[in-house]
Amino acid sequence: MTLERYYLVRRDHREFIGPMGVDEFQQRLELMEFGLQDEVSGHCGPWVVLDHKEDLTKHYPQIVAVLGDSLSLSWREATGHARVISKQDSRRERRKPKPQKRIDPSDHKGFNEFIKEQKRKSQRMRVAAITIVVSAIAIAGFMVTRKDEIPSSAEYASLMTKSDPSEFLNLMGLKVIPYPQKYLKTPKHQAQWLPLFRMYAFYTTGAIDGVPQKLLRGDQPSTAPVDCSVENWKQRWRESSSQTIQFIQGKALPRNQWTKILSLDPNWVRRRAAKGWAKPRNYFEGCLMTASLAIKSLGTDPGMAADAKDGVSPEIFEMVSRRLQQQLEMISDGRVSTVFDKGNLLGVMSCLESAGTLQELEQCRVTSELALKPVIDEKSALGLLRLAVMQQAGALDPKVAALLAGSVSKIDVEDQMSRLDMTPEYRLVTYLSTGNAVDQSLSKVDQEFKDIKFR
Amino acid sequence: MRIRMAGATDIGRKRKANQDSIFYDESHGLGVVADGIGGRRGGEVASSIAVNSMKRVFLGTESIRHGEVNSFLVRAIDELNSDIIARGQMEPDIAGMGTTVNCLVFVGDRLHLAHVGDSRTYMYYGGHLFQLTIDHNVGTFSSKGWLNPDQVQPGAKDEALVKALGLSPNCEADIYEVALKPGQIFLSCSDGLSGMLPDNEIANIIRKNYSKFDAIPQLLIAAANEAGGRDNITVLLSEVR
Repeated sequence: MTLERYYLVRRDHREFIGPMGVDEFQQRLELMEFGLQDEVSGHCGPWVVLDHKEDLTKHYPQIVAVLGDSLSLSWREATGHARVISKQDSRRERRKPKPQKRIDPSDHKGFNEFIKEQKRKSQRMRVAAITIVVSAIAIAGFMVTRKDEIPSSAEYASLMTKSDPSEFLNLMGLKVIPYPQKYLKTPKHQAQWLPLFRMYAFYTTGAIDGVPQKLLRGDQPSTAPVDCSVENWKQRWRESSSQTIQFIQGKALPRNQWTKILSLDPNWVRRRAAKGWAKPRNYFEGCLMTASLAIKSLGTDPGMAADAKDGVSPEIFEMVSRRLQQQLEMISDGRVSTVFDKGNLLGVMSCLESAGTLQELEQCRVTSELALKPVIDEKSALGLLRLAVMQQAGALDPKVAALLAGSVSKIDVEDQMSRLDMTPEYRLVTYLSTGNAVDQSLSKVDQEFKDIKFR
Repeated sequence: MRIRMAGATDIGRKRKANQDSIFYDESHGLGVVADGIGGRRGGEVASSIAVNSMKRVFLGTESIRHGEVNSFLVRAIDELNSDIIARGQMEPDIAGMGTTVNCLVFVGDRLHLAHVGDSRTYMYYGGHLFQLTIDHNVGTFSSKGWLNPDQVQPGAKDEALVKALGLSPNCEADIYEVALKPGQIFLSCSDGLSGMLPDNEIANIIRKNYSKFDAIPQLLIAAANEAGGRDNITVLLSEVR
């Protein structure tokens, strides 16, 4: 008994389709459930990308037959192989000696037929010539279009640097984003294209169809948000808005995705430009961007007005939106352009994070009934650290030094709210508070944590 | 869909301890296989942390919506990784330990699979065997061009792992999804099986003993031991009915 051969397809490196026989394979291919960029495996066989004709011929000739029938055009486009073969065949065809037709001039009927045949031939030649010219124009047009369709990552990278991202987003959205399988096929492709996909994602919805969140997120600490899509932020807001409002009002310290992102120190983010990221500079800036988009959308959502009974007033949306904007400004420029409302925790946090002088920092402190003392103390200590780093070379301002020495116990190797790693910050505070000069302390930390840029 | 599971683990013929760990619970649709590395005790500890932490995290979660399983697995693997590193920091004699893990979560009509290391998960269907996971080792990564020669330590063997839980604070698992069909059997195993038996031999044993599902793990282990049993052998089978 011969078993029907089954094949399994791996789509986007993450999902399996099948096992299926050849007929089903063909049907599902025609339904575009998978494409040439995906991989196939047979019984005990290797995984082969469907557009690797050579490997496919070697391992899965049945699949080659299916693809040859239904996607021969794609292969011609991809490799030019089939076109060469057909050219050779037609040349061979032309070279074949044809039997001579014998014409007897006395045979009028035969002679007339001969003339008619010659006329038909010349007509056919004309049609053929026109067809060739039209085809040449079509091929030229096709080549131009194809060239246009395969942009280089460098071209897009140059568009990324423009202050207005709209051109980048439009082009990416049109030509690259619909084909993630093609551009993120291998780690090599990903190294080139992932920063561009990430910029597109975090400037829009935080998610891209066909690109797993895991890939967009990259390697992140376990305490980082798992999903920073706009939709997810909205969902989390709906689930936890009352807790978050209590936090904003300084009444409680709940740890949810929103309270964590709102208390995220923008200086911490600014110091950590990550490999594989450009704009945003790392996953956390991306999460702030999408959280900001989500809160703007929720604030203008008429459906959310009905939730005002739960205490989500337009003022809260405004407060949260302003805080996120200030965090993003701090990351981008190191300063904040809007005023702080020190009557709520978010405003106090922004004030502490962006103070440029000791006087400014001291004015941020509030003695009101804010119950989140540990968080405020930590932000104050980090504010002092920022002042120290901003100071030019030499010994630390004695007043800052004294305050900093008293603040060592206020910070830890992990952030109070988000539990993100703050070892470099902690180490720097320790060095500075034990009498080391600013430059000396910074150079020690630079050596220890090469990826963290304090200045 | 109903899932039936059967599993077994064996020390093999050459090793002095079994550093593999296995857990499965067909009523919850969870199966975990881990193969520890890093010294006799370290390997055992790492694989058992992986299995127990996954069990704790999974069974401690009230319910997971279908769309959230993959993100749950990402979080869970991060947590397992942190647990192993933290334990190593507390006990210097087992610091540097690591483990592979293959975690299967069956939800609705889909299997969600998280994979780190060179333990494997196969799918058996209609007499055919397909390897679902990619071995995270030097040999595989080099052949796919994912490792530059300068990233490989001189003298590194092809079997050397490039990814395992516990080795680095950032450990990214491969997460796969499979649409379930009755008749599928998923085989998760440590390299004590896949390193001793060729794939077609594994497929033959399953095919010949298809009706004796519960006996297959022991039969596979016996065959691996017969072939030399150079490493610990762990087998977990999950059948879709």
